[in-house]
Amino acid sequence: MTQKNIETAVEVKNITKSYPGVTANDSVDFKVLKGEIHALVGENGAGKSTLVKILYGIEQPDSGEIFINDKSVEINKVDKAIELGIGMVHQEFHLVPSFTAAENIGLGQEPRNSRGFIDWDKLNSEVSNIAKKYGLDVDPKLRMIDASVGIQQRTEILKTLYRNANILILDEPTAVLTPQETDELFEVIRSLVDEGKTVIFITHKLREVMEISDRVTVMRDGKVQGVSDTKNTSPEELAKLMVGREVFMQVEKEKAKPTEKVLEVKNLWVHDARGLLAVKNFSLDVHKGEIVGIAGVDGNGQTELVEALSGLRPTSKGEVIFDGKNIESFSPRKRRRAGLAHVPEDRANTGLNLKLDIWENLVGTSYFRSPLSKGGIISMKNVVDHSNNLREKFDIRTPGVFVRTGSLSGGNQQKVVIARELSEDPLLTIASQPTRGVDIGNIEAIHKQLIEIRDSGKAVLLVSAELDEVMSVADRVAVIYEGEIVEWVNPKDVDQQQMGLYMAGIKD
Amino acid sequence: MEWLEIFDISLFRSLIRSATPIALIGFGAAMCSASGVLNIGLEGKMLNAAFVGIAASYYSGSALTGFIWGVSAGVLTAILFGFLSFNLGADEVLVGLAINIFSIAGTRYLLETLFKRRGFFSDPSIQGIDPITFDFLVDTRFEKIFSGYTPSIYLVFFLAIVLYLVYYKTRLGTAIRATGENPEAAEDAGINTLRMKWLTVVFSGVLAGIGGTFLSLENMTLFTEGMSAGKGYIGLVASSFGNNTPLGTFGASLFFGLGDAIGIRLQGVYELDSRLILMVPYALTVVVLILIGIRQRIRVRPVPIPEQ
Ligand SMILES: Nc1ncnc2c1ncn2[C@@H]1O[C@H](COP(=O)(O)OP(=O)(O)OP(=O)(O)O)[C@@H](O)[C@H]1O
Ligand SMILES: [Mg+2]
Repeated sequence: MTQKNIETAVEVKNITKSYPGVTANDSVDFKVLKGEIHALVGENGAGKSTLVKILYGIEQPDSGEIFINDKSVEINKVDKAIELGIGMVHQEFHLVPSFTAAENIGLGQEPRNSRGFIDWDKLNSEVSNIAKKYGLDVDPKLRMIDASVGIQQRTEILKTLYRNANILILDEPTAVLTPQETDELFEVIRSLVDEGKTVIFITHKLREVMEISDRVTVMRDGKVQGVSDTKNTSPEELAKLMVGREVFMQVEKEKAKPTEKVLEVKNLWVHDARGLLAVKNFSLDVHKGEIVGIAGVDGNGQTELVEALSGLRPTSKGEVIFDGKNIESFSPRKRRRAGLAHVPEDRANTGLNLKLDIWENLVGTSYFRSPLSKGGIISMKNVVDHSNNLREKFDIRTPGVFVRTGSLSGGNQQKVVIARELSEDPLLTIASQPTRGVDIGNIEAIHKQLIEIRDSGKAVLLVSAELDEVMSVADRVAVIYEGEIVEWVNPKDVDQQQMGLYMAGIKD
Repeated sequence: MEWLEIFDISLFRSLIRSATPIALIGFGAAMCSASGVLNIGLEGKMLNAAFVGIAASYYSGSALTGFIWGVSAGVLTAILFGFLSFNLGADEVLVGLAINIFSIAGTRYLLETLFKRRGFFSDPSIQGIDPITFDFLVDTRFEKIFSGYTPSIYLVFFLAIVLYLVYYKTRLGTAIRATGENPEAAEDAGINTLRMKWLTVVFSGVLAGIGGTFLSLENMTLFTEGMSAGKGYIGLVASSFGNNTPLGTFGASLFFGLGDAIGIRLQGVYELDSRLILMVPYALTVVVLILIGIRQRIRVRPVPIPEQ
């Protein structure tokens, strides 16, 4: 029975979608009302992305029905979804790097003049107009290689609006945003809804669900666990529905007992890919038995610092002393062998080879060592056992380790990286954005592991744009701004507001 | 200065003639690269076209028939390339290499079985493609610069302009470039990326076909074994030197043509060893590849670290 007075924008009935070995969507019923902001939450691998990909025509369901604006439809390709007024911003952006914002936004639908040539001026002005209308601050002529993540995302949203989307699907839009950018995004979402649009919003951050959504649907194991009005629920209740158990969002840990120095960075200077100075005269010590955090808005040199420490980027000046040795000339593999592990921020390109199977990624840094290899020959039995152990220990949700890594859900891919890096019992773990895209249950688990590493007398350097994460996990925190340390803080004696000022480069 | 005298109109004409097959291949390669296809099979496509063109002209006695068959051979080889790499999922580079090697052996085999010749084939009954003369230019001072080239040469100039417009000013051009740079973004925008790749590959086949018949029916009317002589690869380097853009590729092709033309002239002036001169295009290729490498380096110039 559909109610007559409230219109539905999207209704999905009894959708099932299976992949070999997994039922990604299991008889899913999902309903979104016109003009609402509907949050979709659930564990890694729960089937959220699969559901919205079906709505956008990228995947076809095995069975079930879809209604858009109360009309039964078949969405067999992306074109069809666009025609129905559905727009989607993917978990990973789909932008052409050398194109400007306007060229990306207009792609495939550029306005043409009477001679059939693209009217670039008209496109630029159309884009400015839409951008202004929804308060999305984007320069139409800015190339995407030069654009920040926030601007890239706004460009993605504009892409859907340019195609007259009325129903917008945002798959984990805040995973890569800074807190300020998230606030700006929420402004935009509100103005979209004011204009009569409907928004489906996937996130792992329950705080965001509470702040922005009208209603929320929780999924687990491919099934819908419940739907409720946001005002009638709480983060605790949602977490329990998602994970099926109580989740402790506060990290429990003892006071750190730092011992000897394991990493010493002295007056380090690093250039970025464009030849600009990304890290300037940076010094820091990390001791065994402590977790040192680096907080800061993304793009303030964290990426280049971590790349330089892990051996992926040359240092321009200064010293890096690890475990008493100057490791300047060490290759990444030699650094690993010396006991330095690295969880890179970009799992898709640096952290994993998505085309390879899970087991291959899991042993990618250790396959040549005994017992995984014997006399230069890989022992498949040991490799598979090892992989299965890691899979269990790190709760990687997959039908088996002989599965292509790219077919895992985003959060499970991240767990593969974490599992590989922590499996070698490193002296120092450099973890960059280690919980990006990971669900709350697993965030809790990863944080626990980092603290366990610390308590076993090893060290962790935690780089995160997630303020809550650094402040609750790290023992001391350096705030970085434009490649320099603004201030060292003790997470216990500093409030959010003060941190905000430091992160903006303002020192008292 | 004596050596400056080589820069005259006949040098210009020889430059244009040398640049033409390279530009034809280069344009095709540029479009393929723009759509994300590394098409190293152009050498083989060109060679097949050169052979089939001359065979068809010999049997039919018609230059046009020779041309049509030659271009068809280029296109068919391109379709084979596309089928193996796109439909069967074979590695593009390996397919390209296989086509090139196969074409050398295939044309040699046919040369020996059809015409009972080794090394080269030429016959009075082969009809070549004639140059075009513009009557209104006769006896003007432009005659020597603009008139009397074979059709493909005019085509190259025309293509440089048309491709420039397509590349930057049409939906097709942006769709091709988007396909090469980020196929997912293109698919999202409703662009059929596979179709774009097929389109550029077939187009490159047409141009390689024209380039092949240019070698065997226009520039000369004969076929020699392996007569494409690396032009398919040089075209690829020209497109890369020109950043895979139409005008850039055109400019790079003219540069190769100039090197070739100067080499030929110097041979006349200084009586250099002809084998040395034949090496010029390949030596230039190496120089250009080094230049490409240097260009990539100097794009990023690190800012200096301030003294403390
Ligand atoms: N192309 C595919 N091939 C095989 N299995 C797949 C494929 N896509 C998704 N899956 C599987 O379907 C399940 C649901 O994945 P989905 O990406 O929808 O999860 P999700 O809820 O979006 O998770 P996350 O929060 O980690 O992004 C997972 O078990 C995943 O491994
Ligand atoms: Mg997902």
